[in-house]
Amino acid sequence: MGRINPHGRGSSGHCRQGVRVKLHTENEDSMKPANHAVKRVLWAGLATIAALVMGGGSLSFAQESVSVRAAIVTGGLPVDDPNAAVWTSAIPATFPMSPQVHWPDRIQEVTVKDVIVRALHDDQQVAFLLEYSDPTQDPDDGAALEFMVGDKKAHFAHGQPMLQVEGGPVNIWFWKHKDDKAVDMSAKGFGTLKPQAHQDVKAKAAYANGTWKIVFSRPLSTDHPDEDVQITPGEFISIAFAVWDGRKDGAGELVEKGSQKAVSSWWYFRADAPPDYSSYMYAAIAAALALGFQFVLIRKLKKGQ
Amino acid sequence: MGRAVQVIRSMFNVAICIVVLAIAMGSAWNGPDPSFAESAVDVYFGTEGTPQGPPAPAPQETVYPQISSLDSRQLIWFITQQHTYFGGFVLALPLFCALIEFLGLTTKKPALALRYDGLARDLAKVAVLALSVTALIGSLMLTLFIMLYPSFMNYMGGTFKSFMPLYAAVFVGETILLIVYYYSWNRMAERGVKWIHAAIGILTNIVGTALLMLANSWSSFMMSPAGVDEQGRFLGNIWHLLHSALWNPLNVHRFLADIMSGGAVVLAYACYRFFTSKTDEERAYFDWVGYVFLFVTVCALLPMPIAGYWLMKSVFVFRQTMGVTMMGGLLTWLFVVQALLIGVLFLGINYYLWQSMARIKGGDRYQPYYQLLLSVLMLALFIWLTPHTMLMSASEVKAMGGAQHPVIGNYGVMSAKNGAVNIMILVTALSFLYYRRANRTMTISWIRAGNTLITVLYVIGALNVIWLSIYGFYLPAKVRVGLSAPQAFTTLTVIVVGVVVNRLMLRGAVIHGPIQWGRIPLRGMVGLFGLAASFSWVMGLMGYIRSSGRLSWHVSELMADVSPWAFTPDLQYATKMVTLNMVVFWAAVLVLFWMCQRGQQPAMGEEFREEQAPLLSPVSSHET
Amino acid sequence: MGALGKPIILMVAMYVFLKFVLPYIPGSAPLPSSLIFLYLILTASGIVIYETLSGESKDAFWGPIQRFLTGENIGGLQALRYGVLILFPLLVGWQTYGSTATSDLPPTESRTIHPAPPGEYTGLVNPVPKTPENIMQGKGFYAAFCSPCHGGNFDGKGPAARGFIPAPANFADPTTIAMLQESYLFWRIKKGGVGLPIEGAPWKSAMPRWELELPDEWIWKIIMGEYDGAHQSPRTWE
Repeated sequence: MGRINPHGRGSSGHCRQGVRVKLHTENEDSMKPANHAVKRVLWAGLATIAALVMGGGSLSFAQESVSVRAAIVTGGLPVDDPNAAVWTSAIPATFPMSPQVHWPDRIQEVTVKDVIVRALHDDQQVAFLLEYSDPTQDPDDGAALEFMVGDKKAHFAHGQPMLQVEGGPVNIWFWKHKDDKAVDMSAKGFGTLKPQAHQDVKAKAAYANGTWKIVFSRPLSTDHPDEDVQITPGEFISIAFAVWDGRKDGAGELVEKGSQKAVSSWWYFRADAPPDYSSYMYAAIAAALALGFQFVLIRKLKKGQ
Repeated sequence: MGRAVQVIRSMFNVAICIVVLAIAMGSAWNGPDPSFAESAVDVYFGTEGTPQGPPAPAPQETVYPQISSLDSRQLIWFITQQHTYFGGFVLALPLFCALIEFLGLTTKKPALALRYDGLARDLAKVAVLALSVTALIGSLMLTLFIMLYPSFMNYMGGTFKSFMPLYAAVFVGETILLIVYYYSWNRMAERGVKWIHAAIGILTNIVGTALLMLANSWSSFMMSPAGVDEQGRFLGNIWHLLHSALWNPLNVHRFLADIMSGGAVVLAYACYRFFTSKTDEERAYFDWVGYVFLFVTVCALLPMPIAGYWLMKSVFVFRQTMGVTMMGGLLTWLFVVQALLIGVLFLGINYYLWQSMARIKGGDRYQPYYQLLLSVLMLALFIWLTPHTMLMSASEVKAMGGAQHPVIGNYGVMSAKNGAVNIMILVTALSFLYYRRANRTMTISWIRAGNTLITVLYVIGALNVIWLSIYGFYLPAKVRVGLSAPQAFTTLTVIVVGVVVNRLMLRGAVIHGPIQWGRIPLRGMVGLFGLAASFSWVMGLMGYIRSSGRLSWHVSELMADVSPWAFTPDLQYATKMVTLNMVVFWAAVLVLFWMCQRGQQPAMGEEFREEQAPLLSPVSSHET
Repeated sequence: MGALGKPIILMVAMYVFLKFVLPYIPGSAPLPSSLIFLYLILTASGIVIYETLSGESKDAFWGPIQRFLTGENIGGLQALRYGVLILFPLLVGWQTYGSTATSDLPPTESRTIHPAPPGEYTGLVNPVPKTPENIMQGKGFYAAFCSPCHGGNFDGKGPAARGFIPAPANFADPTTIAMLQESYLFWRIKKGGVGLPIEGAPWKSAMPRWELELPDEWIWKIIMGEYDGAHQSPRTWE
């Protein structure tokens, strides 16, 4: 760097007088160790950076909850107890619900507007706690979790086939109050939903103060990767929710049944992996490299002068 | 010499391997029994034929083996891009050699002729070595394809079976020609035989171009299949198979791109050698190489927009949806990157020209004008780079009241951009005028009148361009397109008249002194290096757009990609991948140059030193 | 002021202008941060080029930076210099950590909002005459079939909209139907969310596939009703 252009300055003979003078004054100004000016300038630079950071910060809007995360617990997963104290340690995520309008028979209005979801895992099993307010406790109250299975994406409406793209199947964990057990089901499009031959999911529900709390649990992985979602700690998986309020209308008919239900869009679920410290190591290596670079650069600069 | 023999031996080995592999594959791919010889219709040409090749595999028949848990697509992407980069480099180098050898033959200045010839020979040596690397990467690529995408390769191999021997023959021909071309260089140096040698160079290029066209037939078939029926079965007409809708546009496009990328690599090398050189002679030599190759690269770049337009138009004619996907849908961001490249290009070329003045005695008279030119260029760049589609968060859209900004949004549209790019071209032309004037003082009597004429010409031209741009805002899109012609015409007129007037003014001018090669400031070469880097980089990204136009098809509408990697990667992913590929390629090329340089350093050094003395005085300011 | 002063002042002035002045000029609006960033980068490169045009200006520009880095004759700035020298490796480390640490954010989804329609839909023209009666009828169909999600005011805020991501399109927004052709709307209404091509992933659209329930003529009428109700007009081909 030090030997940049040894000749550039040599031939200013043709330089126009005015410009030459101007260049000179600029030069002398800066050549004097005009610390004052340089200092002011550098602080102004820092202020600019700060302003940029702040400007960028104010533009990034608040993060809504887009994923359910299952932290690792040791000492027993509360698979049978929706009211266990350990659930308070799980981070709740709230997701909005809509009436199912995508497919006939559709519905225009539903009872449940939001679901609150928590999850925990112990490296063997995973447990989800689904919570929502429902003013009445009915035998036909029901709820379900839906997962994509495998690598292929699936439409949230029961993995309904796409017209131009080949999608994958979905795995549905369904609970109904009057049965009080979970059904492990598969689907690839409306009308294809059916219980699996292998039932791996358990559910336990509790109703209190106008709120349903339902715990679904299952081993992280099963022997049927084509039908069941396989949960690998550290990986995000697509998850969706559905809720049926089992109330009846004036004529004694169920209002919400079958495809007439409250649904959510796809969201994400992740079972946390054990902490990984390797990125600290990378950071340390990078910082050391940067330090070395500085050292070499400054040495070169000093030598050049 | 021992090294050279080794290189040749390894090259022949690779060549033989490829031929054997090709023949083996050709015989292994047997089409289905043509026992039921019904006739079928060509999907593109609509002609009838008897199915001979295998049908395209259905999604459920397609298999994708994996190497442990590696991402097969990434592997293939990496190796294919390396192959494309190297292939382009290898095809461009003989072209440069032939061109420069020809320049050396025709120039009347003996010293310059020697220098051209030396440069051409050095490049030929690199070409020989690079060809073997390309062949090596090519066979690696073939192996990976067969391992990771066997169903696809089976189908493609079966369909293109009849081309295998031809491909092998052309490849071997190119190899032999290139070796002969390089090793006969010194033996055929006599005046008469030299022309024969140059003819070998031209023949090498013809065979090389044929090789490129054969390789392109696969890519174009994948995008726009032809010569096969609806099930993808080859119908027996190999011309139809070759001559698919996008073949010729792709040939032209890739031919130019290869020259550009090859030139960029040589540029980068010249910069690298300039930075690390220990002697003034070396610096002078590589300064000159950089100058020559900037010229070559820019020449290849000039017809590029037309070639690009032809390719895109052919895509639209083939399938409108594919065109919309590439131009308006998923991949529009790449065009912002392309605009960025053009911006970098103009800035880089001007900066290089301005810095080049340092090697011309008297060049610094024009220093003050650059500040003005730079300001105009920057203003035009602000408009040129304002994207039509902006990257923004939902809250920003809300704050702005829509996707278009009420003020800035005006700069995002075509009309403004046309004006901006024309102004940028004018600025560059003006820089060139200054460069031509740099080491001369005019002696004609009408200096003032001439300068006024040029000034008035440029001012009027610029005003006309700007006015047409503003006027364009008030016209519907259909009419507006027509305005780019008068704008381009204005620019062209101003440039041509300007250059002619300038030339007349320079008649009989006093020359201050020769060009002092090597005097260019380091920062000028840094600018050149940046320019070369952006060439290679954008070439990679543009290749990604072309390939992505197929979306989730291996072969458009015939064979679906049902692998886990069928998704089209986003810009960020592609950018990272292309950057990695480019860095690896450049590193490999630098190693290659270094290997060649080690064997020849004394020769080149001596040669340049002995021609140094006569070289620097009589040579005028512009050789190329 | 040193040669370094002017560039920094220019950068700050540029930033202040883009961020705090331009938005308040009547008829203007705030700029997205990506554009501000682009303009600042452009300004910075312009400054660097300007300052390195000649050997003299290059030295005047680079000299103070060099002196600051080497710490020669900078007196009171020594502390600041050490600060920068320590901060830079830390920043690099922090960046590396950020890019290698397992992210708590789910994978980003780059969805193409308006993917290319299949070939047979491009260039279709609305066969239904644009009469007030037809528009009224279209608005009626809209109220019955579309308004639960897309809203009675054509603003995408219908009662059923809240759970759906992506949110139902807001037709009053000039970036939705105003920049599309009628044939495009026809395709999207007919085929719905499941008709999206691969680049429309992750296919979360809840748009019904109306071709199973509504005749084409109704769909064309709904399109007319939508444009009229949202006070937009379809894009014509450029």
